[in-house]
Amino acid sequence: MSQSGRIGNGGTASLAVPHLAPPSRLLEGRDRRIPEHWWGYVLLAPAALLVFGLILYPVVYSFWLSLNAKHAYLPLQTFVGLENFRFFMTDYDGFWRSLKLGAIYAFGSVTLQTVVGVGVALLLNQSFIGRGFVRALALFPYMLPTIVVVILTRWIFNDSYGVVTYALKNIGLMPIEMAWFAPETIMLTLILVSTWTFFPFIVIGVLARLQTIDPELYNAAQVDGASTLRRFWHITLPQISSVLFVLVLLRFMFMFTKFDMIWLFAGAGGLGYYVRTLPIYTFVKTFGEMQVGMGAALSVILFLLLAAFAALYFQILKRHRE
Amino acid sequence: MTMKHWKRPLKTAVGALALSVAAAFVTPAFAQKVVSVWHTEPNPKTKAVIEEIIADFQKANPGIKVEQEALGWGDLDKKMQAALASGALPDLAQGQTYNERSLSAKGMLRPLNDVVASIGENDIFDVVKKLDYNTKDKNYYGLAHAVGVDLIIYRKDHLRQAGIPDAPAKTWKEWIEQLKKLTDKSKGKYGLSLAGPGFFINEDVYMWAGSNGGRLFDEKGRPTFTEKPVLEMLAFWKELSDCCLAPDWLSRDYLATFADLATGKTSMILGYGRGTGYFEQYAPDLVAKGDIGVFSSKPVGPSGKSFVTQFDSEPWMIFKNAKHPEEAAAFLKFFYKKENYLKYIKSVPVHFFPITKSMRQNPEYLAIADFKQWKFWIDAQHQVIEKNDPRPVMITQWADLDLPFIAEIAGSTILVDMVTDAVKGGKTPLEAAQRAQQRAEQLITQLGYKRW
Repeated sequence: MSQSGRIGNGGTASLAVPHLAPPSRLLEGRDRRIPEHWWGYVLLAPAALLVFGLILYPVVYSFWLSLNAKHAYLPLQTFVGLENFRFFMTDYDGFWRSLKLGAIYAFGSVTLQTVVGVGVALLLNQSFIGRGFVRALALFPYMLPTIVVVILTRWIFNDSYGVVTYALKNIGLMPIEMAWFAPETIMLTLILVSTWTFFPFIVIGVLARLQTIDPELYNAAQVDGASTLRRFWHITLPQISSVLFVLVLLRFMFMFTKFDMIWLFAGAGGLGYYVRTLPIYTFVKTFGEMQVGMGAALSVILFLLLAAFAALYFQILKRHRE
Repeated sequence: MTMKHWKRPLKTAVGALALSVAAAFVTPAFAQKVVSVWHTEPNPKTKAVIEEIIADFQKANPGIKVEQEALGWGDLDKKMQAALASGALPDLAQGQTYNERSLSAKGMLRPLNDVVASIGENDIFDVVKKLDYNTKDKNYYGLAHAVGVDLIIYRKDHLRQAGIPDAPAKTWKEWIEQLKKLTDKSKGKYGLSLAGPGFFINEDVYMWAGSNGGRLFDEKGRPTFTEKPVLEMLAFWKELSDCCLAPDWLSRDYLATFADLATGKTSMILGYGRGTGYFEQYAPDLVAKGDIGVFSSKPVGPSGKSFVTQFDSEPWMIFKNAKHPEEAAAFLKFFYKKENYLKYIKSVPVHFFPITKSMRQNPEYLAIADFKQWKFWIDAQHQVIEKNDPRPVMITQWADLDLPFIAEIAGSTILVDMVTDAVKGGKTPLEAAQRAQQRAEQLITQLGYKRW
C-alpha cells in the first residue's frame, strides 16, 4: 500500500508528513545497530515467554517433581528416581482402584452423554414451532456453574427433604430405604448428573454437523423405501461419525480428569471413597498427605494415560476411515 | 506498515509495562498493611461481631487493614493444606490443635507469649494452657478462641414415645439397644445421625477408640490401629451402621444431622452448643416444649473405663513467614480485650466458653439471656470439662500432641477409609485396620518421621 493511499481521500498530507518519513531516515542513528529481523523475535518474545512460563515450565517441573520425594510445604526434597511410580504400580487399593473408578465414571457418563446428545440433536434438527427456544433450553444445563448443579441436585434428591426423592418414594417408584447419595448409588447418581450437565456439548457438535448434511440424500433414500432407522444407520451415522469421534474423545478426556463435580458431591473421604477417581486421589496425595512428589507422579501417569488413549483412539479412527 | 514504524510505540509500550511492574512491586510508604484472618465461625452473627471488632481496631490503628474470611470446620483443613502447599498463607488463622502442633514442630509459627501476657497468663484456664502450651520449648504457639464440648443431643419426645428412660446409655451395648428401639426403617426413621465427611469420621474414630480404652499411636508414634480397642470400635461402628444409621449417612454434613434431628428423621446426633441457634430458628416448637436434650456423658466401649469426647478449641495461630505477623499479633491482643472478647462470646454463647476466669465471672457474661433457656446444655459442658478430660481432635492421649505428623494423618483418608472399609466395604475390622496400619506406617516413613 502506498503512503498516499494510506492517508486516504480525506487525509491531509501536512498532518501525515512527520509520521511518514522515508525509510532511509528511520534507519539512521541508533536504529541501524539493531538488525531488522531481531524485531521479529522481540515481538514473538511475549508469546514465547507465556508458552514457556505457563505451559512448558509447569509440565517439565511436574515431571521433575515426580522423581522426588517432596513435602508440600517443608523444604524437604530427596531425589528418588522412579520410586514414586514403582509405589503406584503396586498400590492396588489406591491407584488401581482410582483408575478403575475413573474409567467407570468416564465410560459410563460419556456413553450416556453420547446417546442422549445424539438423540436430542436429531430431535432439534426437525422443524417444529418454538425450535429456537427449545434449542436454547437444551443448552441450559451446560451453562450452569458446577457448584449450582451440585447444590441443586443435593437439594432435590436429598433423602430427608428432597422433593424428587419424596415424590418417588410416595408413589412407590423408589424403595423407602434407597438413597441417591449412599455408597451403593453415588456412582450412578454422579454419572446421571454428569450426563444431564454435559450432554449439550454433544448436542452442539452433532447438530451443527446434521445441518450440513445434504437433504437430497434423505430424499433419495426415502424414494428407495428406506425406513427411519435405516436412514439413520446408513446416512446420518456415517455423516456424523467424524464429529462424534472427536466429541467422544474430548468428552472422555474431560470426564476422566473431572475433579470439581466429584469433589463437590462427595469430597475425598466417607462417601468420596466410592468415587475416588485419579484426580481426587492426586489431590489427596498432594494436599492431604502433603506428598507433592507422589501427586506429581500421579499427574504424570494421568497425562501419559490420556496421551496413550488419544493415540489409540486416533489409530482406530484412521482405520475406520480407511 | 513496515516493522520500523512499530519501534516507537513498542518502546513506549515496553516502558509503560516496566513502570507498571515496578509500581506493583514497590509498596509506597502510605500503603495499608493488610492482615488476613481465617476463622471457623461462618455464622452471620459472629461474622458481624468480628467485623465490628475489626472496625474498632482499624480506627485505633490507622495503616492496618484486617480482612476476615470465615470457613466451616471441614473446609478449613482443606484450605489450610492448600495454602501451606502453595505458600499463600494468611497472617492469622484458627486451626485444629494438631495443625498448631504440627506447624510449630516444623518451626512455622510465631510464638504467642506476648498475646498470652497481654491477657494475663494466670487468668487463662489451666485446661486451655494444657492445650496450647508447648512444654518442650516453653512457648505458646496457639491460643484457643473459646472452648466447647461435643455431646449427644437427643429428642426427649422420641425417648418418651419409645419408652426409653431419659438417661444416657453407659455402654455401647446399651446405646445400640436404645438406638434400635428408636429406629423404624420402614418409615425412614433412624436412631442416630452421624456426619459423613472425612473430618467428622476422624472425630468419631478418635473419640470412640479413646472411649474404648484405645489409642491411635504408641509411645514411639507408631500407629496402633490393629490393637483390640480399635478393632472393637470398628465392629461397633459396623453394627451401628447396619441397625441404626440412614443408608446415606456418609453423605450427610454436620448441619444436615441437625436438620435430621429437627425434622424427627433421627433421634440422636453428636454436636455442639452452636446448635441451639439452629433449633431456635428451625424448630421453635421443640425448643418451647423442652424436647431437645443433651447427655452429659457418652457410652463406653467393652474395653474402656471412661469416655473420651472432643474438646473444641481451634487455636489462633500466626504464621512466622506471613506478611504482617506483628500486626496480626496486635489484632489478636485487641480481640482478647475484655469488651471485644465479651462481644465475641455473646455471638454463640452456648458453644463459646471463654478461656479466661475473669470472663467466666463477669456479670455481663453471666447475664446472657441464652443461658436461661439452655442452662442444661451449659451445665453438661461444664461437667464434662471439669470431670472428664475432653481432648482435641485426633488426640486420644495428651502425649500425641507432640507427634509432628498428626495433620498429615488427618488430612490423608487413612482413618476414614478404615471405617468405610469395615462399615460398608465388606472387610473385617482386622482387614480394614491392617490396611490402614500399613498405609499410616508408609506415610509416616515417607514423611521422615518414623521413630520405631
